[in-house]
Amino acid sequence: MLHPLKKAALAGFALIVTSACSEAPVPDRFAIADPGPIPQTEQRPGNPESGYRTVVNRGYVSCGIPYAAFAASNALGEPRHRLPGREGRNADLPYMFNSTVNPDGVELVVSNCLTCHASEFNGEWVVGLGNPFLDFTGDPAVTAEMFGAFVEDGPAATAWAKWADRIGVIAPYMVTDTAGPNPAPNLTMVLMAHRDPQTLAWHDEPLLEPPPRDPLPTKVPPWWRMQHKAAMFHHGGGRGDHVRFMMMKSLVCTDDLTEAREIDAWFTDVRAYIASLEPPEYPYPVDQDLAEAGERVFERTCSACHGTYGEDRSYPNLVIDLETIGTDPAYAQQAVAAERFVRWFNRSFYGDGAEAKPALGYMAPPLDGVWATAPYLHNGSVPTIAALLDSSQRPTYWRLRQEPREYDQDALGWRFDPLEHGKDGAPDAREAKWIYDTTREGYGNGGHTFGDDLSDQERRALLEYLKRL
Amino acid sequence: MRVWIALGVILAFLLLWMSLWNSSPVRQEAAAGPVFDGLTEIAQKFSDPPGTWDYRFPEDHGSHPEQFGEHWLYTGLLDDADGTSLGFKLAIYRLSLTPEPVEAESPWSTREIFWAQLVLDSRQPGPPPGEERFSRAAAGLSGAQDGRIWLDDWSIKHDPDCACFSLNASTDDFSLDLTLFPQTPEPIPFRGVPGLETAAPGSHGYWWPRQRVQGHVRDAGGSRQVTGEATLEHAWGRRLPVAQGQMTLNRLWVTLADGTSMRCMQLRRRSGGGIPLGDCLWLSAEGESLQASGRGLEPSARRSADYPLQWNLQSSEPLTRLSLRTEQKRAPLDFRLPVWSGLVQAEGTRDGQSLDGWGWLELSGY
Repeated sequence: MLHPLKKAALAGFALIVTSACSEAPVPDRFAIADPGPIPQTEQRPGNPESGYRTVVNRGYVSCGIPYAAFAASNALGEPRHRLPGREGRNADLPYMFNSTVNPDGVELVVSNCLTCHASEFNGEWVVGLGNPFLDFTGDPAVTAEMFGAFVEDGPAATAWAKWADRIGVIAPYMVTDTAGPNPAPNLTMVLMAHRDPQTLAWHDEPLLEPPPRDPLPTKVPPWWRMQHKAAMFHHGGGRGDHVRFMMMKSLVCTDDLTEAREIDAWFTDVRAYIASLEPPEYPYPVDQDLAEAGERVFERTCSACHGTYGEDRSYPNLVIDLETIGTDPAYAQQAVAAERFVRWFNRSFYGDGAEAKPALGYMAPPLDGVWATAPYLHNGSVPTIAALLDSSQRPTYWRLRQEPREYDQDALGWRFDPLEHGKDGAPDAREAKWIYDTTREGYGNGGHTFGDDLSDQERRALLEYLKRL
Repeated sequence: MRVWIALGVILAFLLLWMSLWNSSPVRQEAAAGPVFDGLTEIAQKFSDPPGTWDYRFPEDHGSHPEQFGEHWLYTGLLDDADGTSLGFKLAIYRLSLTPEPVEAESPWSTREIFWAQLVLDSRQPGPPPGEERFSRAAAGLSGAQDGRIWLDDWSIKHDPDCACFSLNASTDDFSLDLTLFPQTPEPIPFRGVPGLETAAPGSHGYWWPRQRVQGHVRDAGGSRQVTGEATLEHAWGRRLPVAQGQMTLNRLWVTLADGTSMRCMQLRRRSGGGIPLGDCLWLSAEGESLQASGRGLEPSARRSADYPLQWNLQSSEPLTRLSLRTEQKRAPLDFRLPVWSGLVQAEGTRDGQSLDGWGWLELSGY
């Protein structure tokens, strides 16, 4: 039987697709969404507890490093950030890895969602908070190849080679020149280029022209927004069944529909878990009187796009067109221009009940826990909310402070150093990679100037109010 | 005879050692699980070397017993008065069994074992004469002291008075007695086994090419005076440069007639595919050193499971293309870990000018 969501999605095409959909002609759908409200789509129900267990225990990425090699290479180390609910071998692994056993009986260490979707705040490890301190400037193919020195002959060698070969294919498309931004969209597109959309079979040579090698910078949004958002991604192009987008984490290794369907079943629960998450509470003092004043500023200045909070909760799910929002257009433009990948998704298993339909604009996100989600805008180009609300305060060149990272309770963001120079002025490559240069393509920090007209007092009040969200 | 006694005594330790460096179950039948576990525990007793090393010479020419592994490796090309040339390699490896000094309860008490390989290459057909020895650092059988590293009568010694090295090694069939004079004031430091620095503990060391050699060689042709040039490599840390797992280890040292030298270390998948890991260091005739990607070093042709004996090397600034080949297609040496080790001829161009020289190629893990 067809999934009801798929029926809904295909209604406009007046096409009937049978349950043998992998054999039948599949509609070639490509449409650009208009900016404006995104309609809500009913999501498949799932079990949040089971979803969390999947996130931190299961092999939804089905290829990886043979455990014996992982342990022999000293990669194991001391488990950091022990998470609840880690079962069996998972309890001994670093938080961003799960354990699984492949059909040949080889125990594998595989990547999980938390590589990008977990981060530390005020000493707490927050699952669902995007990690802005990740460094994707290194070549992952080198690391993958290196593990080969610790892999024994036999099925383990076969398993390692599959994984290392996949990493080798995608690596050139996921190396950023700046540490902090995330290359996930580019990574997803190159994986699509190497797969048959209907069978998911892997091809070493791309079937579609791959995306550009230099990934555009994106920020990892917090999971807890998903209970309010009708669509995924900054451009709102992930519409329909969210499960099908969330499970694309498995795209690096899942080579057939049987495995994809199994992961789909798991991710029905994972989606429910993600949609059940609430933001953490602001851990520092809040001036409640000032926050009250800030709420009035918020309702006057921000609510039309970002919604209202508290008892009269509302969220309009708006995509704001590029001209109005004025933020760096490259990411939305690329999503719209990547027609071959939109078509790939919509024809594929993943597009069964879901539709990739980007717009030339960006979603005004729900602002729950926004104080925790620095840096800001879809490309993470503005380090603090204070700078977001006063564009004259946005640094052209800046660098996140690390070791120790420190939260700025006045500006709401991680402390950073504004710089007078871009990467060329850095003493060496290690310094240069942490410099965020807003003059580079896709890294622009313009737009969203709606706070510029506020008085300093209004801006202070608004910042205080945002701590309560 | 002493060698065989020593070999029997230390056999268990060697099996432990080999199992660490070569985790293939095919090749470690004699070193089953518990043995591997034992050696892993030994290795884990050692601290990582510091991220940077404050080199001090001549002290760093000697041993670093607090480090798990260490090696001294000379390769060279010698000519006699008749113009007959002879290549050689002498490598001495040291492995610490404990980071702490051992109380000498008996003359056989030791904290270290030594392993050495001597190879002579006269560019004749067939495997070059080579011999491998193992010993424990006890009862004077092997050791490292006062700048001298020895195993039986094979030794490498630094002499601060002449700022030179001496190298002595003999077997029943041949002997080398050489003095080696570095032509540059300092060696070139390097860090790590390429590609393994991230997940595996690092190592530190140096490369000292272009050493002028004089001395004597004795072989079937009798004893004769020789001159030539040689390259020294010395490194220490928690890893030795030995092929592991799915990766082959390919090492190359080249000395060119225009005064430049090069050292490459590269790991490649035994089964083919993947990307090569590693790097090359160049030393210009003017003494400038430059690190280049190891991806410029490629076998020119290779059938699976064969040792690739012809390589191409390309690097930019200045654009250099080298072809490295052996004059003889020979079998690998039947050492404990099989290895192809021998001379290669280097020919090519730099910025359009023709270029030639000699090199030593060592391939293992195939």
